[in-house]
Amino acid sequence: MTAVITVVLAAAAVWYVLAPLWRRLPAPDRSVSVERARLAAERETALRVLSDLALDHATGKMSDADYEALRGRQETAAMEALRRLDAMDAPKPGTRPGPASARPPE
Amino acid sequence: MASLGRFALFGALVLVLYAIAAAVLGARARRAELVASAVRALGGSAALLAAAAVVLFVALGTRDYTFQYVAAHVDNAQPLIYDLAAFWGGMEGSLLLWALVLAAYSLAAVRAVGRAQPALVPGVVVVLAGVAAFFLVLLTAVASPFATVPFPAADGAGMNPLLLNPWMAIHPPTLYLGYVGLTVPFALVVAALASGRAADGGVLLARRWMVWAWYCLSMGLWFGAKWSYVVLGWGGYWAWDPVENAALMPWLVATAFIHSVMIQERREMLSRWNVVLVILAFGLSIFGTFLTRSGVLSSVHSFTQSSIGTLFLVFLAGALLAAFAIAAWRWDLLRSRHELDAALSRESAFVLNNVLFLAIALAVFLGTVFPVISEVLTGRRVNVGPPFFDHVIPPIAVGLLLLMGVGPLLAWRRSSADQLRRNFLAPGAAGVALGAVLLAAGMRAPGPILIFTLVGFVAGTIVLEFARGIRVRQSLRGEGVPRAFVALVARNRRRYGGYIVHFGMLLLLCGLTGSSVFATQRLATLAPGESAAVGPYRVRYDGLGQTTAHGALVVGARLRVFEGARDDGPLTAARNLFLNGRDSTSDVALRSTPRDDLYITLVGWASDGRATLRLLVNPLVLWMWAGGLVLSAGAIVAMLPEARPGTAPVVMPERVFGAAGR
Repeated sequence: MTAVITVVLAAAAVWYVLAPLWRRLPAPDRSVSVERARLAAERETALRVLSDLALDHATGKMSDADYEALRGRQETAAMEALRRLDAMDAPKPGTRPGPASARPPE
Repeated sequence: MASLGRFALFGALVLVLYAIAAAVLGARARRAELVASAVRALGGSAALLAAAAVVLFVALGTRDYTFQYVAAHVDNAQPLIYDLAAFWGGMEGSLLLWALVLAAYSLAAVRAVGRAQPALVPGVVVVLAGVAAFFLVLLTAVASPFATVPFPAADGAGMNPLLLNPWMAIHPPTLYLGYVGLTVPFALVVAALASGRAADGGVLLARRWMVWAWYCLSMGLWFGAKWSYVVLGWGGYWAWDPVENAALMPWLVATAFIHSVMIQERREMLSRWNVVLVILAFGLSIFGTFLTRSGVLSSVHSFTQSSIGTLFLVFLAGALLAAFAIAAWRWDLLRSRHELDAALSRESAFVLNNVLFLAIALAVFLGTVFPVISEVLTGRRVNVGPPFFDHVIPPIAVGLLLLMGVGPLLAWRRSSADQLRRNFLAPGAAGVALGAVLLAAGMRAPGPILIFTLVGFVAGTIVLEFARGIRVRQSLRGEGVPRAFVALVARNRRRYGGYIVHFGMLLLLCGLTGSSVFATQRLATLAPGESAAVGPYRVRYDGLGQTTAHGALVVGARLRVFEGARDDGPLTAARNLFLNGRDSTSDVALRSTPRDDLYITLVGWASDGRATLRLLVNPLVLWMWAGGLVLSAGAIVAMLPEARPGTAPVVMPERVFGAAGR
């Protein structure tokens, strides 16, 4: 009985692991995925900093002058990241909208 | 059935080795199907490890003494729950638990990385599978839980009696969730550095995993302290034991990281430092497992000792060497993009906080390994023991406590001295007031007065932070206090969850200070009917009784507690004498109140009915356990996902507090 279970488990494992090799998957477009991840991180950072600045200012830890100066800089960074992400997601001329090319292999 | 377990482990080893090869080849040849196959191999190994775990659980649950492991950790008198908990009661089972938890984490991590940064998937697979391969080699070649004997005994040896406790049933797996959890940030960082594509070194992706591992380590330490307190019978919860220290060191480094990564998130600074912290935390988790399993240092936790320690050391050295070599290779990639705007800022406070956390971790490390160092250098083993830690750690911890209060008063980027002074006033007054009250109440020890004054100050800053946030929401949205409180925390989970964690730490510190500085104890030998006074209590001894339970003769001293004229009721302090000749254990008589714990152990007895009792009064211990619960609640709040920044409006005051009149 144990031998049968062992053989079945082994066969199932081999089939499961090797199955992706029978089909050819498109290679991920790394440059796009890396750039997207970088921009998303930049956007997240800028938004988080803006959130912190607003909270610190509203709770009296930061002067109005400091707040205005720092906020302006961060808003520019956030908008720039958003603009570039939008540009990346916009459909290119002559292509139909579809799933992003930079999907994980699984 | 054992052969099924052996096959599952061997199959899992083959699959993780395949995963490493397929991921490397897939990344080099840019073949997505190979990477997909590697990911599946990781999944397959997880399934096989789960099958191996089921086999061991079934063997333990059915007391199948053909398994050497079962015979060594189970006996016929042991309750079923402890038969199952024996899974992690011995070395082989613990290693299997390590591999199993790592497999589960690996699946979750690869899935998460695949969504966030798919380019890192092959590297993450290689590192996670590499660590898994080490543990699977141990499980298949060195310490298999599926070794069998041809002629099984009718009964097993059972677990060490000290492990037969509910806290011990949950303490090791929780700690392992933390230890193993540190592997994922390590994998993310190494993969990101190796790929050379993630400018942040993968640190930001690693943060959430590190917080989870930190939380599990925190809870594991807390459960362990509770076990030590109620089971070991010495009246304390922390003894600077090498294995306790082994769990504390990665916790300290992870805590430092959780603070410093906030600077990286906001300022793109300290990437190098954070990479080093992630690698160190992982290294210390392996070092901790080495200490537990090697028995190189004597410890109350060294329930299993073996020569497996050498293999751990070799693996640890190899992993650290490789990781630091990759970090050095990519050092330029990790250059900070900004500098500190001002010395008076929250960033500066966090940097100082990191230095202090690392100083404590270093002191704990040196104190822990000093016996080995001294033996190597002088040929004589010198144990520094608790006095070393008690002298070195508290001054640094006081610095951290001060920073815990000052940090929240500082703004990110830049604070003005005027604002800091203004913000300092109320919490500072709270701290001074608490110190004055304690002085007036007769407390004279300078150390505790300083600590409680700082606790008052930090508590004041936390209350101030909540009060200000609530006030802003009230002025913007006209919400009542409860609603504003809930909304404030819900919209800023990390910040306010962090403050709740700080509050839990304050409670913990109060308990720690009260119980370590103001504890009183005495030893009393009493005849039935006689009483002994300790602290505000009078304990009357009413005689001995005995019974049998779970293969042990239980000898109990019947006690009655009085506080002045008030009768606080009966207690029983007992000793369990195991009939098979194993160690005896204590059942502590414990009466807990927020003010203090009355803690009594039965030390011995005589044929004339006299009993020797150890009586302790430990002030504020309950605060420690409450602090652990508060810390846990805060950590859970902080770990809950926040609103995705991409979906939030860019007008930040609205995002933070909600728009007025909406």
